[in-house]
Amino acid sequence: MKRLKSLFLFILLAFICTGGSIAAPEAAALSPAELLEKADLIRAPGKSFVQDVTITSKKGEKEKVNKMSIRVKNFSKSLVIYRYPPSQKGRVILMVDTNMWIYFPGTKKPIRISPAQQLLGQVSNADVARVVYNFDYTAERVENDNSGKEPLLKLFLKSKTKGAAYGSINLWMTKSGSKLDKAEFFTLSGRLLKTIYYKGYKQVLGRERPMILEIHDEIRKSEVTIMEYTSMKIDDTPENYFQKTFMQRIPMLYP
Amino acid sequence: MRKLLLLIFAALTVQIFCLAQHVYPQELNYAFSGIIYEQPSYFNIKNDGLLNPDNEILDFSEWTNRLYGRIALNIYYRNIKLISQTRPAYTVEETESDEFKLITDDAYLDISIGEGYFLYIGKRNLRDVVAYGVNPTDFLGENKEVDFTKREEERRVERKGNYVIGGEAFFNNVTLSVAYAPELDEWQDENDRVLLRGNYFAESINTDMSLHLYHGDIPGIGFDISSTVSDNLVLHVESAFREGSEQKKTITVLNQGSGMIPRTYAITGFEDDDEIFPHIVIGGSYTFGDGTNVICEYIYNGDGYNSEEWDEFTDFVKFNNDTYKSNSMFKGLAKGNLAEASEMMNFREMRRNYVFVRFSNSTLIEDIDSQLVFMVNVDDFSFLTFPSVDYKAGENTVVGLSSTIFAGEDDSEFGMSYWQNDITLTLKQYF
Repeated sequence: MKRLKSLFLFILLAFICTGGSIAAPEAAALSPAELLEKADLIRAPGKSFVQDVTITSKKGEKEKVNKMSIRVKNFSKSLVIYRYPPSQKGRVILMVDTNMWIYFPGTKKPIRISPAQQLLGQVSNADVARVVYNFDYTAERVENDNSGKEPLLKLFLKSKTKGAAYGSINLWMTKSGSKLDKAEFFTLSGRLLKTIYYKGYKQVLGRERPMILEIHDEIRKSEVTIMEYTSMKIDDTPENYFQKTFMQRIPMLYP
Repeated sequence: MRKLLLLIFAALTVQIFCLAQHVYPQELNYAFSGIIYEQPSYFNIKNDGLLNPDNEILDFSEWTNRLYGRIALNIYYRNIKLISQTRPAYTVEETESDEFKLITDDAYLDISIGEGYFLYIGKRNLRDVVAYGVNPTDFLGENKEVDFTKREEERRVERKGNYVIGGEAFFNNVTLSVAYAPELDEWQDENDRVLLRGNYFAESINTDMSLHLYHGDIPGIGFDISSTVSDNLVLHVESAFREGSEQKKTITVLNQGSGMIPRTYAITGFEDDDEIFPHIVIGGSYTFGDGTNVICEYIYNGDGYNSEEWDEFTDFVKFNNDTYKSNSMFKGLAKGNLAEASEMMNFREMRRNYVFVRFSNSTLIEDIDSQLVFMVNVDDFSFLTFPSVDYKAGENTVVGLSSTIFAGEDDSEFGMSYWQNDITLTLKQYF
């Protein structure tokens, strides 16, 4: 009995020391690539889903609001449908890998644009259309960051495609890998462009997800953009909707 | 023909409504939106010009004011959509009486007949192009009236559609479509036209391409390609090869004339010619770090005049200008010839080689969207420039100021314009 007790205590101690890693391995034990996959699943509830976003651009006292719906398929394909204001209603942005088109309802002509073409305030086309990082970026390494209130993991991402909007990204996530904290976005030359803070965590589609992204412009310090996500749900969009020739029909299908 | 089309339209409508009852659960829905424009323009008309000697031939208003709307009403019922865009316009001009027009750009039924398959019938403005300056593969829109007081991306938006019946099939990365625009007595005076199109998106090389086969008075094939090269750079090519030309006309002096006999000319077209004329646009769009976007295109206009042909054209204009000014007995004839030359100039680009450049930035200055466009005739170095500024005065209000400025020698293409420049103020109210 005494030997059994000792064995029990040993197992208990070992379990405590490993921090319950047998049941749930800590994120720090994962490779950078695995960590990035885990990070992406925090924002994306699946390969294909839909959500609405309200973008509020603040510059000093001034505030501008834009609303749009986003349909994502297989992570790499997105349709962004503008809802508000009336001057932009009916616009559609299609992103397939690094290809991007914009459709203005009046012109009847989808135009191929480059991902660098700015959309609203600090938000680029890619920021709205793309919700995962591992499509455009490779996680090169990870390190512990204990400088803040909570110990975090800092993931270093580097662009792997010519079409990626940024040269590199530093992404902070909790050690458990369950939450994103913030991300810094750099140009190819290494200049810090903006910082995104992941906020407003809510229980959505089976886990806690950040429903507010606060984007701080690091060049024009007074400019802040808030992206607030709502109505996230799993919904598949037919494959043939994700082509430029179909863009004219998108506002009719999703009025 | 019109009766037949109406019969098809009615039969199709009944059929579709019957189909809709059984297949689609979606309820009645609609979308209504639009823009109200108030647009005064002032034209700085030349006192004298080769085409308009002493400003006597063309009755051109110095100023116009247009109050008009662009109204889109779309009604969705199950698998059927009624798409419409109309433009009620009230125009006041200096030299004309006030005019009210209701222009219909789109009014067609669009019917889904299965996942990815659509049929449509009615008046529709069809476009599938990739270039900015000119669009050689805009086959069904090539003779449409264009509003040159607008930015180039808006110029071809507000134009009358064609009466068409057609279908589209969407597959994964492939789209096939057909459009038939019949001749319809006074409704549509062009001869029957058919346009077949195939689009393919090659995902692995970030490139999409379109092939167009056009049957009409001037048949042709077209090929478009556009590709994303990097985060900042997009390249495109739009090309069409036409059998014959509606534009090209050669001017031959039949009789030099003397005394009581006027000089006579033969102006012959190439409509029935089987010569192939290429029209090619090669260009790209580059976005700089500060958000400035530059579009640059080289345009080859295969049926444009070469130097020799242009000289013949300008000789024709100059001779008739002189005749008109000399007050000879052939003044009336000269006036007619100059009017004909003006019509030839209005058709589209006259020469062979052009460069189109557009600079734009919508983020540099808050609430200001600015553009500067140049269209340069490389053959005679005349050009037009189109600066424009849009100020977002409110959430739904935009105030725009734009100008068209022509520059070049008197006998160059853009230098022959009747007006030197214009200025247009536009107030847009979205709803």
